[in-house]
Amino acid sequence: MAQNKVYQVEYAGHPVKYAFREPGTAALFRERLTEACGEPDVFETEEFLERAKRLMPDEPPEGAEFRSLICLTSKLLLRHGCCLFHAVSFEMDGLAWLLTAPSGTGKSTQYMNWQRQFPREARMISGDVPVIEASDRGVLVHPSPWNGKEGLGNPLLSAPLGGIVILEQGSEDRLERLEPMECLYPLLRECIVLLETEDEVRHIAVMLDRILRSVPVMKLVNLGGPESTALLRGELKRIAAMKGARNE
Amino acid sequence: MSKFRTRPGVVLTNICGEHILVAAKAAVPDCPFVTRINEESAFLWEKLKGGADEDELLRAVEKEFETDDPEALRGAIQAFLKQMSEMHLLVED
Repeated sequence: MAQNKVYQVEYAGHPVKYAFREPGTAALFRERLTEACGEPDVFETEEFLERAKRLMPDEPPEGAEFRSLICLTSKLLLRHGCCLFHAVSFEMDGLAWLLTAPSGTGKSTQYMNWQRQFPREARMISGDVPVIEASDRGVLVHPSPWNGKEGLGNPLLSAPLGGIVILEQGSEDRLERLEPMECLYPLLRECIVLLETEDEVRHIAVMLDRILRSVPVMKLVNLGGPESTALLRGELKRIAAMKGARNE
Repeated sequence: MSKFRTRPGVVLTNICGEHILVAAKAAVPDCPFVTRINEESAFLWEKLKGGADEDELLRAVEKEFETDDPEALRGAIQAFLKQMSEMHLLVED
């Protein structure tokens, strides 16, 4: 262990220390990484890394290690009321918005549409895996080093969560508000936690309770075109304005 | 009489006022990941978690919920045990 340099990354103000097996992994964290002392919180076993490489045959070894650290990091953050979540997250009108869905459902397309139609209105927080915090401090969205294929994200941008949008491809553009129980499974599915222990289940349940009591969750059935983006923008603007009015 | 216990790894949670059983990873191949149950079932779940058998469940329910039909109550408890064990949320001792 002594030969592996220890690095630190902060997530929502919580430091996590890493040691890496692959020489190129540290570089993938870019400017978020600082050198640290002491024992790492996360140091994958060789077996775990080999499994990750087998599961991600198209990734270089350092890419496989980098991506496989998502789960281990999320597990550590859970005790702080935080977890990594699979979504495109952006800030607009002072609030963070999450677009979530299984891979390939059009999350990045929606964001790209937004940038084309309403330039400079939205700022990306994380293009793939933001940190959601649901703690005594409130429900907030923070950046992470995992920003997806396009590498879009802002390491300095955090914001209170405004709402969550679950995307679904369909034959029309339609936006509907979901009841908490309707979105429980889709949200749990996109939380990047293995839920290996009963304690982890309890932590995630507390987080989901706080999130669902704090913000609306919507489903956007869409064709992927600019009309759906305009429809979504209208609703998010309305929610942001109402929230702003309540806070005044 | 069969005795049932809750499946290890299945946790009763409360999300937005609803009682939800959520299964940890080890339990998921055998039972549903997320199951919504009503208040009475949540009450029975907690008692089972504490090790209660069918008779103890009956006494606990009689005490908690006013009823003048113990046979119907026993039938309801048996139906609960049957349904939950069919879903593999309970295991038989």
